[in-house]
Amino acid sequence: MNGPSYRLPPDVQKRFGQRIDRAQPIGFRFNNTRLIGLKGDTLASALLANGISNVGYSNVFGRPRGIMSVCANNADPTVTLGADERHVPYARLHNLRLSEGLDAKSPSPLLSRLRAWTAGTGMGELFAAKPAFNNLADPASYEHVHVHVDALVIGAGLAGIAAAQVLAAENLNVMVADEAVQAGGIADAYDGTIDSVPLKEWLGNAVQQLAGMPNVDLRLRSCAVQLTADRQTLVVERVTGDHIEHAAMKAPRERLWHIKADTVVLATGAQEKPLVFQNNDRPGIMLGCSARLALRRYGVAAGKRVVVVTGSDEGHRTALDLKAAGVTIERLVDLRLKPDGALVHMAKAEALPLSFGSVPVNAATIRNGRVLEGITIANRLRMDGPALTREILCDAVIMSGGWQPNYQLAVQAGAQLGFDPDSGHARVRGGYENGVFIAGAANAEFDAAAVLKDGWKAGAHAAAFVLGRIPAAHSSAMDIEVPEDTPAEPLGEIAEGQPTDHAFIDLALDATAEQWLLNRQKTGGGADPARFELIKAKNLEKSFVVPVSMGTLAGNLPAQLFGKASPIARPETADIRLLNGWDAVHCYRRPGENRNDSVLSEAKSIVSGKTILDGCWMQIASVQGKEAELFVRALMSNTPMALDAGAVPLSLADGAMPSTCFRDGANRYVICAEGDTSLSQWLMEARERSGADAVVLDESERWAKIILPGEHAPNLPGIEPLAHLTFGAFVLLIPSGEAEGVWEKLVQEGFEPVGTGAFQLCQLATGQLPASHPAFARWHRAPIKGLVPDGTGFIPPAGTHLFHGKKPENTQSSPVKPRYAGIVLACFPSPWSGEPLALAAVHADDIAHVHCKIQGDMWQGRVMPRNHGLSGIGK
Amino acid sequence: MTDWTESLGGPRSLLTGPDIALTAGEDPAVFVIHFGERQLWLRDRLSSLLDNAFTCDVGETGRLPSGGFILRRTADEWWLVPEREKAGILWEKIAALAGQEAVAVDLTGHFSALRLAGAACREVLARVTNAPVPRRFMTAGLRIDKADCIAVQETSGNMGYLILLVPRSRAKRTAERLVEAALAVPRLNLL
Repeated sequence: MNGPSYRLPPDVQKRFGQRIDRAQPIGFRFNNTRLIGLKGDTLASALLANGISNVGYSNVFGRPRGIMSVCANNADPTVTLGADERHVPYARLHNLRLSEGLDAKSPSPLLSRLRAWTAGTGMGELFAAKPAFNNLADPASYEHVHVHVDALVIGAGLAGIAAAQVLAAENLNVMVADEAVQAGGIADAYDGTIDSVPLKEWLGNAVQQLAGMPNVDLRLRSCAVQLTADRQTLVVERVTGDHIEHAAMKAPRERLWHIKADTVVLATGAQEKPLVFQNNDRPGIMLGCSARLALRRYGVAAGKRVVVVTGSDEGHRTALDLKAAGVTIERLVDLRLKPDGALVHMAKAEALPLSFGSVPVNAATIRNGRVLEGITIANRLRMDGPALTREILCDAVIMSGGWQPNYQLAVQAGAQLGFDPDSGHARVRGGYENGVFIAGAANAEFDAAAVLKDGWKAGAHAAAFVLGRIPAAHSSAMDIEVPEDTPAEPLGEIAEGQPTDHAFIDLALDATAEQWLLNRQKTGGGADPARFELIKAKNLEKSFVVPVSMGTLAGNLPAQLFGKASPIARPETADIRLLNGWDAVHCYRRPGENRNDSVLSEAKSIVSGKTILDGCWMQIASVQGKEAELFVRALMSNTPMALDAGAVPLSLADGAMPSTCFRDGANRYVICAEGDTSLSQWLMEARERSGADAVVLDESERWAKIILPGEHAPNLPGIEPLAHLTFGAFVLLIPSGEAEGVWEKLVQEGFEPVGTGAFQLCQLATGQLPASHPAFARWHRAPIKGLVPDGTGFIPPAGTHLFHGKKPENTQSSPVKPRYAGIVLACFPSPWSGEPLALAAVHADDIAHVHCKIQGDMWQGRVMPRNHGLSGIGK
Repeated sequence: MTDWTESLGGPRSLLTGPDIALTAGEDPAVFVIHFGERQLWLRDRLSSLLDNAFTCDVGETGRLPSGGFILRRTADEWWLVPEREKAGILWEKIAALAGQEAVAVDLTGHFSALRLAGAACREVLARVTNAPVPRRFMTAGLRIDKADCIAVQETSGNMGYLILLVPRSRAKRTAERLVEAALAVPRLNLL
């Protein structure tokens, strides 16, 4: 797998290898092989430098893939970093900075081959490209940050920086986000000057100036993944994600920014398109601009004997660089018949071996497609018979099929796309009413001078959108000298008569033009034949997917659910459980008791003694106003206006929410409910529907609710119980600031604190389900009845289906046929006798006996009359 | 009702750092007043009582001349957060004016008060809220975990700080989240 080194020698021109430090080697591992890179390398460039041609496999067919790009592009395979609990699946090579000890692995070749063999059979899913997951808990943290900014610029290339300059000059708060580790986009792939300053240096100065401004936040390693029409943006920032050297930091691995921006400038650049020919995805084939960037940034050549195939001047620009770096250009193949631009003439002057009017038709490989051997080209012009072809031996093919704007975020924000037949790519059309502006290559401007001007223009429009006025004269350059490309022909067509089953237009999806169209038809994307020709010929559609980890989406969710806290403090023995969103005390555990014992013991205390319960989960709402009385009367089932203010509370119930209402003063009613539906929301909706002149306020937080359960709830001197609950319990509403003192006073008076478990058990024993029971959500539930066993001392658990053996009247001679009787809703021990009891929903009133089978044994029981609990089965 | 209470036990200063300080205050007195379209008379009387304080737009906050602040939650709903020592007298006057016609509710005890001060104040909020933190806010409905909070920007001399009114049942957890966020590294250095 290891090949010769493709790193340029140190004595090469200074413009090559600008980002690397040759004095600082870095050791890393790839597929268990130890390799050496240099400080400043990305994983992609380090693998290229080590001659690793095959770095992974394609997503669908499992075809061997190499490094096609060193900047944002979806064509490259992903790798898994590390094998421990900090491993990172689906890491992208191009933005992965090399660090000491980095351990990367590509997906299993065996799985990839299985996937390839089963492709199209319906079994391919079984072997889908999966990273090496493990079961170890991820120790990393992920955080979410929510901010509001005046302007968000996505992309810190030439256009993005230009737009940010204008916005920052207007004193707006500007955030600039770019997924790269260094600002500037791919400007370093081009030569030229701006105001007599070299392009790269001018851009560096501009970035430095922006970074120093107090109203500018420049976020690198931050990739925008979502943009809505109202300018809500999600940006994923990799803080320590793929950096082993930062693993010891307490910083989060990734940070998800939720940004609300008044205006957004999209300067997301463009992707270089591949040329479409058979086997155009083989390892050793690379995109033109990326090959040039690999030279200039990392001092790495794509190969030693290279063929360049191009439909634009990009190929010539790259070929000139390669020659200057000492790489042998076997052939520069230009698809155009008569190109005439400065770069073409420079290539001629350098005596590069040129072919015009030819197209690549097939890439030849050895070692099962993992190593490139050569490329076959054919004449576009032909007389009679097939086109003349020629095979050229090489170890790398550089291809350049023009550019495609990255419009994905613009489309998310609601932009419409149109096809530009002259340039052969899609571009955004329409206005910018929603404050999203597109600049530079994303706006189909591909020459540096045009990109810069478009960036300033977009920045001015964005500033005007926020400020409501045309901004003051923004930045401008007097003199921009960057060699302009002659217009590229919108090529990418496939030579006639040549095989096309592996001629991909979308390498991320392994999609040929035909397959792509088929997928579109399956998903309702349309079956326009003209569109098919368009896709096939113009090669314009590209998917772009950025993997986002689940951890990032989840954020720093707490390890446990936190409920609302009661104003009454709890001792350490309290067993806390969530009840209607509150941390309620289920029981107070005594030494040597398990939870069930504690609950039963407390239930017995409720029956026989003086007990108090923290009813924090109960909801309190008030209804006030001139028509409060009318509203409450319409809502409740009896007449609260008959009460004097402050009088004994009245127990009421509504079909939707069991509740208690009492009159607290003139035109003021307080409603108390146990259910898990929001009481105040329910009341507000009812008030909206009724149109009553009344105000509903949620007062649950204002009051502490202390319940005095049991039928012997005593009359307390000086404290008037305010609401009457089930089975004779009373609730005291105490101002939350005073609750602690009242609770302590009651404990001193001899009241024993009990938990909700015992309270609910007593409710069940009186034939009442707690209001939070899911059975209450069913409108047409069967009547609830008590259930006691016949003889045997156990009850089927909740959820058990019950049957009864009533004979059908018209079939007296037939055997007894069991019929469905109902379901057990709750099973519990009696707080009086400790014997098992149950409540069940029983479908008919005349069912007296039920039975069911439990683990093969027949169980039989008696159905008790409705609400017979306390006076019947409970005792 | 308007007696002094405290939701969060323990030290009043929850965190002190070079660029952030978090303190718990006494529970604020909160009065809710509703003016209907036909109750302009009440508005006029209360305006004279509170020196024409009912002038904010919806979602904005204003100062009470006697100390504290006033929030306009909806077109006809106003929340008064007066200084604690003057709250009792003020409530008596409001209740007397409102009589049986208007709605005036003493919600004291519903909220706890946390105070955030320092340069990292906005950064800390940005790390815990569930919605973008407005860059310039006088008042805002913020959601921290599941708690609907009210943030009010205050100044004392040259120093600005935020008062967070948090539902009482969520106050402890919210304070813990704020401390976690304040201790988080690295700093975001928000604009």
